[in-house]
Amino acid sequence: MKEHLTRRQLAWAAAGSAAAVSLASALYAQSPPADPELEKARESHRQNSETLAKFDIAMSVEPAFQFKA
Amino acid sequence: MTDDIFFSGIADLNARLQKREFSAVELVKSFSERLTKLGPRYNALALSLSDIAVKRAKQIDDEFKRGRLRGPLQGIPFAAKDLLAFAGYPTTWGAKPYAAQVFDETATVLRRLDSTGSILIGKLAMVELAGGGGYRTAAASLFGPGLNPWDVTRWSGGSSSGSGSAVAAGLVPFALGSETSGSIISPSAYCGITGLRPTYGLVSRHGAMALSWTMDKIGPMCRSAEDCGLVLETIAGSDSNDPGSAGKSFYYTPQYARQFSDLKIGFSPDDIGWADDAARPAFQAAMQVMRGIGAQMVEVSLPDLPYGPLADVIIGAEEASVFEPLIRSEQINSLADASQAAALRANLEIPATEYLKAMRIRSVLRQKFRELFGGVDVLLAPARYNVAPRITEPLDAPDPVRVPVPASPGMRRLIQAGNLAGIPALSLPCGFSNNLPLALQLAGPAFTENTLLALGREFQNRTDWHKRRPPQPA
Repeated sequence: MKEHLTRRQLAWAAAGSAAAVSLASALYAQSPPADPELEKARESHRQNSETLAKFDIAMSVEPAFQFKA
Repeated sequence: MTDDIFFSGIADLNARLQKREFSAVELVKSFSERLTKLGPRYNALALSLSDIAVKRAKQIDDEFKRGRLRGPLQGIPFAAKDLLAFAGYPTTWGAKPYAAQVFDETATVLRRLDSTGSILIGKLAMVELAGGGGYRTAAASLFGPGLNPWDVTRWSGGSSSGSGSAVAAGLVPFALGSETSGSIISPSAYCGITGLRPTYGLVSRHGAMALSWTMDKIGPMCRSAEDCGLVLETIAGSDSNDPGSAGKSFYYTPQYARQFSDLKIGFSPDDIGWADDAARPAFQAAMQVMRGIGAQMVEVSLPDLPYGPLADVIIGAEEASVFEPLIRSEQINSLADASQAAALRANLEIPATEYLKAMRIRSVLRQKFRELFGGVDVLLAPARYNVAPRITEPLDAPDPVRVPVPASPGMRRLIQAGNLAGIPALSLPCGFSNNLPLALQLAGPAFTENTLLALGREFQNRTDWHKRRPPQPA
């Protein structure tokens, strides 16, 4: 069933959204900056990922370790 | 005892013990005093075990008196990288979070050495957690930066820093190191000693800190190829406590080595172009000595594979699993190197699919190395293309630009490639640049340590770089 909102309810909702956006912006501004060392390590991972992704490998190639039962 | 004792080879020391020129107690006391006095000057000493070593030496002297001979290592003092457990004593792994860690079991390699009468006199400093996360500074250690005996403003290399310094400075006749991706070869090269990275699985890792289960190796760091062979014979062998054990033994038999004229040595002529300018004459001269041995020299190139990313992903994923409790704790912040702590955190985010892909590419790598070794018996390259860096230099700086740029990458990634392939390598001092040691690296197929050692021994019969001594500290 579709719910109908009055114009007053719509106004409250809009005001609430604006407040939420404002609050999020404020929180973002107050949050500590990202750890540059961690970001550097992640960037290195991204580059590794891209390099390995370019490497086509046949389905028959198994990882270089053996499971022994 | 004269200073010559501190730079003698294992066989010579053992012969003199047998002749009663000095006792095992005297030898152990002399080396222990030297290690305790000079070790801290190079930030090389993690723990002196002098007291217990002297007690053990008394037992060995009794054995000599009774005529019970155990082989060339009997009565020889040594020290071990502080990633090997020695029951009842601290094993710090070079890292503050583990500074008070004590195990109740001794590592297999230390038990094997004890069984042949070799005497552990100390534990040696190392880069924290063997540096697997990647570290930016030489100071990434509980013990401070490893200082190079040839020039204390320079790094001794990592992660077996103390092992490199201690052998070079004559503080021990030999040491144990470990290598996941360069940690024996690099400090051996920078410190001017002879280091052997064994084939994966030949030497038990039981009782050693795990960094990467599929890449960790333990090996000897000595004065000569000959000494590496003697130590390897003792520490190699099957161990049911090590899931990676190859179940193979090793007997040092240079007398049965193949004729050198039958050997094909693969090299890249572009390697010289990648070396520092000042290092090139020494490398060229050393290559000439190798040619003079009589083996056939064959130009080759390494398979074109992403060695760096492969090693990063495999070591990163495995160490993240090993150290997950540490990484998720506040103690991670007490590591000396912030970049290593950050890398360890980031390694927890490596997807399983990426690790598996890297391990699948590693299968391709192994096959390509089998093909490469179908055409040559040994690979020859500079161990490091530069001398030891200053301790103040960032270790993660990009490689220097070479002009002109060599036509091919040469063997520059041989350390990473060789570790990924699990093959053995030997670092041999081969000259100096600005009074700092340079080294060649020999690598061969799995379980061909005797071939590498025989070639290394012949190279050292023709040169004296391995006999050079660093300046005595004031």
